[in-house]
Amino acid sequence: MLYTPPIARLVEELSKLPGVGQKTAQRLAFHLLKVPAAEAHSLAEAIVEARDRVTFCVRCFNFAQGELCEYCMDSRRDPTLVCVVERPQDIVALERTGEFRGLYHVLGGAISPIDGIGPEELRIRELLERVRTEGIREVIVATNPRVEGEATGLYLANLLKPLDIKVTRIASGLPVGGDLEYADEVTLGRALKGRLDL
Amino acid sequence: MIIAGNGRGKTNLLEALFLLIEGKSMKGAEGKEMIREGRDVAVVSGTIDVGREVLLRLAIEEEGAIKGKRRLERVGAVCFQPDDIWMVKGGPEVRRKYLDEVVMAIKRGYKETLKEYGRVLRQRNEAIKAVRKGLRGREYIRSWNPLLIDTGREVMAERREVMNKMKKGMASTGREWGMPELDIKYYSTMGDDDDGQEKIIKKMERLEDAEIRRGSSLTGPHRDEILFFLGEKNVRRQRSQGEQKLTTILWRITQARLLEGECGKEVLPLMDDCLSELDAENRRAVLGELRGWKQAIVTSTDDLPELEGTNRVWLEFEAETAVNGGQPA
Ligand SMILES: [Zn+2]
Repeated sequence: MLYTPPIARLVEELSKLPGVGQKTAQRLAFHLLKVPAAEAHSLAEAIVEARDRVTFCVRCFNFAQGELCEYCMDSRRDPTLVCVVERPQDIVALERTGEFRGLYHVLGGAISPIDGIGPEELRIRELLERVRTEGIREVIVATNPRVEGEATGLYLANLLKPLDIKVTRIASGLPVGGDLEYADEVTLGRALKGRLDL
Repeated sequence: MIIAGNGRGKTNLLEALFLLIEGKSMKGAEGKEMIREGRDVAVVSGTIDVGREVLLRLAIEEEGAIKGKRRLERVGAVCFQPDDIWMVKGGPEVRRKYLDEVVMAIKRGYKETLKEYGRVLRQRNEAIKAVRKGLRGREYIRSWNPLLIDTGREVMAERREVMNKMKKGMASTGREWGMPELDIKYYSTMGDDDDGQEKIIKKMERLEDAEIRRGSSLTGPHRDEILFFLGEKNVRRQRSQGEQKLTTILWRITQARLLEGECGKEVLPLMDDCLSELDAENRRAVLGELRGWKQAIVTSTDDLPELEGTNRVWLEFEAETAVNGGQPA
């Protein structure tokens, strides 16, 4: 079916989103054309605002609204304890457990030669720098329970141990091959408490 | 006993039975390949007696999806095909595939274990290729070593356990059949079971140069060998075609029995052309064994004297009307 150019463009843009196929994109486009104009404008503005205002925290690379993210700015949190995650979404999952009162470090992914991602592509150099300068006592590796997450954890352990700090890995019990993002709070909280030396 | 000349659809009949019971092709064929050329769908139906009669019916649709699959918890099928001879005659990858099939059938979670190992292996191989191209340092490969060892050992442990069960079963039936003493040996490229991680890592680092030249990992269960011996002689190289065939029949029958013992299933052996190339004595041994089963379906191209007393069915329809799928018998 051929759409008038503005609709075709909307469908094309929507179909680029993860998990959205051609059919879903069409459905969403027609939905947006049907709802009150204010509602569609509000969505468009939210996208622009999020893109323009949200930046990365210069310290931990979490999403932020200025130089530092909300956790790095919170003086009640323990700066000697750093939890390493793959993506900012994982922080949200860990915060839901209410078990962790330290700071975070977002790597930006995990080591995966298949995708051409090695340590150089991750924010590992930045983590080392933090360990050297921030007086960190323990690094908790909370990468996803997949082989790539495990390999990243082992790599970090080899790198950090000579620096004379404690390196731990959140306990297993998490569904293997899953994402932290989708683990329930209880399981994730337990995994955090039962962390083991790497 | 199903007796019919070549091209009469014997194999197709067994394929249909296997498909109905196991919900997949015994030849490992895709759904699409099982539909007759020029047709859109294939339909298989039959009645099975599991204390009560159950009607099974499934259809393979145009896109190859198998609809109406019904897993009968307590019923299974194991098939012997003439191609199984490659299990002893072929390379190690064939033997690993046959063993993995049995492990998967009786060990819950083995499929996942194997998948995880496969993922680690693929990652490590990609790392090796990146090092070969000069894009990364050797550390890039080494960070995968502990994981390759951990997941590889899980694979090996499951394989060894099931292989020992197969060995025990095969050896004892082999003795009844008057075969020389049977043995199966597993040769691990990673080293012995009691080798510590340190030792294996050292071995892997010694092989690193060769791995970079080859562009792939040289140690791990993906390179392990499994060998069959009859009276200390390697079945692959030192035994006759008849003995090789007998060994593979023995494997399939032991597989069926293991499935019964371990999974509490009633298994139907489907034996396609298992009697040819065997001498009269071995034919009698195999048939004697199959007579001990509640039911077994055997095909043969000839009406042999040993078949006297079995329930014989002659397929006399033309190949045209035969159940279609895969290769004609
Ligand atoms: Zn931060």
